[in-house]
Amino acid sequence: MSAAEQVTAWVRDRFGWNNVVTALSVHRVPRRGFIFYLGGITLFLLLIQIASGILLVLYYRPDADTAYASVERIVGELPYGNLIRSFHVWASDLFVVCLLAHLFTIVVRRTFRPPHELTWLSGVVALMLGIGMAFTGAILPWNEAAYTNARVGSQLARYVPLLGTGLQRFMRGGDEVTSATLGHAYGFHVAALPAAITVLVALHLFFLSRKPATVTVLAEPEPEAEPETTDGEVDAEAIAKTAEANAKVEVARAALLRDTIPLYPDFFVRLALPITGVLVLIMTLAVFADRPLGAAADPALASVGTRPPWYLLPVHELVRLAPKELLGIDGARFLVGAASLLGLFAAALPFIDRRGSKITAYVAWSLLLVLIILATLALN
Amino acid sequence: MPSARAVPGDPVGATSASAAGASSAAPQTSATGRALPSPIDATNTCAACHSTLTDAKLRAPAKEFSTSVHRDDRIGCVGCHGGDARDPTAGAHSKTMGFRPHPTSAEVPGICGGCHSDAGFMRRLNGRLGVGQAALYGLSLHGRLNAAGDPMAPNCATCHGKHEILPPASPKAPVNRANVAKLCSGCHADAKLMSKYDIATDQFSKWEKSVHGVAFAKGNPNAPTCTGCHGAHASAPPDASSVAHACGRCHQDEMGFFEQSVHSQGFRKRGIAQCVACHSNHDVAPASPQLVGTTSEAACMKCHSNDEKPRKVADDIATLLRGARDRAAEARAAVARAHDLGLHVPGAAFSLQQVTTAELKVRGVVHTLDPARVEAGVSEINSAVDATLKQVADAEKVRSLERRDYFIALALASLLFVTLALKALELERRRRQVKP
Amino acid sequence: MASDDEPKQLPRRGFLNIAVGGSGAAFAVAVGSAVARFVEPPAQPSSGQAVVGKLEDFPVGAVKTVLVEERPVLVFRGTDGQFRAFSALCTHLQCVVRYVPERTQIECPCHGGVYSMEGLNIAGPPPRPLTELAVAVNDGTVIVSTIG
Repeated sequence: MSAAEQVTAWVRDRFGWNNVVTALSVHRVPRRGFIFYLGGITLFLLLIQIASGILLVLYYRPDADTAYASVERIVGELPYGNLIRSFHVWASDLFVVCLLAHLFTIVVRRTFRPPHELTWLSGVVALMLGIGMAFTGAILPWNEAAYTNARVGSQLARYVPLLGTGLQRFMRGGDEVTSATLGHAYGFHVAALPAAITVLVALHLFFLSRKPATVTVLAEPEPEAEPETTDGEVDAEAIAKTAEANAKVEVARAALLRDTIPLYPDFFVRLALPITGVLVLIMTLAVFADRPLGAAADPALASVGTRPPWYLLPVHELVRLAPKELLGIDGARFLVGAASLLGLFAAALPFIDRRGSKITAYVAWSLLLVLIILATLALN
Repeated sequence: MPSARAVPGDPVGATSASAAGASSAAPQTSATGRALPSPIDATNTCAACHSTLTDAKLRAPAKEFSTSVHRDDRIGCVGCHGGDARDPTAGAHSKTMGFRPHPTSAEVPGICGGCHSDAGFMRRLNGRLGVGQAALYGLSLHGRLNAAGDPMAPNCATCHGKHEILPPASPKAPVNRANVAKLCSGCHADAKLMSKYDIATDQFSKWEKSVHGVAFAKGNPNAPTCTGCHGAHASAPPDASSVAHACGRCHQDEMGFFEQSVHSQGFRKRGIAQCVACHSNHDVAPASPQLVGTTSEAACMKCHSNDEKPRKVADDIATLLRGARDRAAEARAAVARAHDLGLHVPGAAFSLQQVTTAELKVRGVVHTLDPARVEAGVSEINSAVDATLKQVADAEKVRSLERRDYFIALALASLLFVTLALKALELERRRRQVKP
Repeated sequence: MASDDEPKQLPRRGFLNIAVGGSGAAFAVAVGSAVARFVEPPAQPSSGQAVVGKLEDFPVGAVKTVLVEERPVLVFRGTDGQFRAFSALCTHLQCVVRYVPERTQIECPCHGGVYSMEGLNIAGPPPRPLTELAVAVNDGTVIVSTIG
């Protein structure tokens, strides 16, 4: 054996490579359909965010006095600093989009239904953590946009019923947006949330592997045993029935093999294609579409901006449109409370819609439309 | 030398005033024979009586005086009007005690000066005040007209007030820096009044629009108001020989450069007011390259429209200045452009500051009217501009290098994409073949 | 699926694998080199401080104007060997002041502001003394801090 082959053999043995390959190959995924790649793309985006984030945190300084200057330094003085920061900013928007798209496709295809409850729940929590990462990350540059996002975003939290003020104080690290807010945001964005999201994503993949979502594991059909006869006579009917059953399993198996591909190596190789595409997309955006840093945050300049991050625009618009009172409760609180209930309902979908009825899909589409309308209104 | 003026507590021999109603503390007298109430016995009976009078004209002074700086018991009403403050009856209006109800305009400077020119006296009452005001006033046109009996000439009270005299630092005082221009223009913008003296009345309106007036309105503590150039008590229009010194008190560099120029002696010989000749006095406009040159707006053409050599000098300097202005604008535009592109140009702020500094310096050097020296100044501007442009170019180069690297990465990614696609197709092909 | 297909397949499969691995590696190297340059420690230790030279560059009595984070700074080394540094921006209108050895004072060329060697505004329009900056000497290098 050549040296390369020896090394390869050694690695394969220590990793238990053959077992891994067999286990992965047993899981199969539909051959056609782009949406099956969304989860993988989202995971990839998370990974490159972690990578580019690590690079940025090497030079970022989290104190309110020096944060902006350190980002200015990264962008202006360090080689490729501008690219890396731009990359991180664009990828974060894309990450949130993919998270939401992935969630949406799962809901519309009703993939959440039993036995995938835990996959769904871990995914929902991971989504919340992901949005939390985007939110805390936007605060870190401590520029005008950061300050606005922090202020307006945490203001919205006030309208959540029951948890409202507590949630706002938690998000702000106090009553107002101050350097404490920045400190909190930094701790969450760099340590707490990445750790939590890693655990949640690992759980998500684990549950997915236990109960594969798309297609059942390729099972060996059990050949029915020859029926026994008490008197030694061969029951031709029984034999024919067994043969028929076995034939059906064979047909199903053939269909399975035809319409699906194994996870390894086929799906992984195919997944690498949109991943490379996404990478090129973000690189292009980072180089040609500027995400300017803007001016440093100045709490003295009252309200320079009034919009929260784009993924909070629908909630923002709800609060803006809310009438003063609805059924005796403050209008904004009512609407946000209703939205929160809807969110909880959605989180509990696997337990509510066990059979995955089409109604869920219709509701999901309508809700998407409503969200888009609200967001568009908020932009005016 | 004992003080000529007595202050309560001084052992002073009483003069004529001590005879009537003398108590153990004899009424103090001043060198001018005016009596002062003793600090222990003094009560301001003047105000106590006058504030109850029915005639408003007589009541007002008592009220106004309550806010005056002179309400100190050691001065009081009698400090200016004389009389006996301790007498609660009409006997207070005692002519023997020097009572003087209505001092004439010509008498006022003497009354005020009686205390305010007395160094020993002022030292004890207010050591911070100077004592030269009356003397300065006497030298001024205001003072001379007043001494000659002109009733329209301002005396001390015209500007400082009669009974309600506030310290100049108080924002309500008419002589506060913020209010001076309005005070002076009260008379000097009055056409009827000034026609008698043949003095123009447009100074205030001109000043308001000038560089100085605008800066003053913005609260610039260095911008001059009327007193800044004309002085306060010795207010005099700077005559030809002293204009440069009025301007030069702040614009020192310009004055220095001007004195090195041919204009300095020439103006002095011909009695031309130096700075005013080109920059005007009250309506000073912001300095611009237009002031120099051979165009109709240029100040040079006011005198030299037909002189060949001066025209050439003016032209040379104007060309240099215009060139410098354009280059400086070029540098600023480049940095602004870089900023818009999101480029961070380290060192640009410093370079631009050097451009500004060089520009400001050249403005001073222009006053030498020496094209060689102006050229030296302009070359400083140019080198600062060049440094700025180079920094911007370097930053743009870095950006373009990033672009180049992007395309390399793009090419490699495309290659990767293609090989992956081929691999996927290969796997697909093999799957199809494996079918039973 | 005949066995004579095998020899044709193996080299192609091997070739493709190498192609994928190769282009992946090339891409990784391209990205990696950019990252490496980013991670490489830059000349300046960090923002907030700037190395302005070596101890030898500042003989006793030397006065130099240096750039610290785009701002001009006057660095003095007094006769006692001690360093002092001031922001060279005039407190009047931000012109760059300079040291005039003939008069042992700091002067502003714009409007005649004058500062003493201690940075005190002693004449002209400047309303405040020059901002003093901390100077430290570390291992033979002179470092000026931007935080007062």
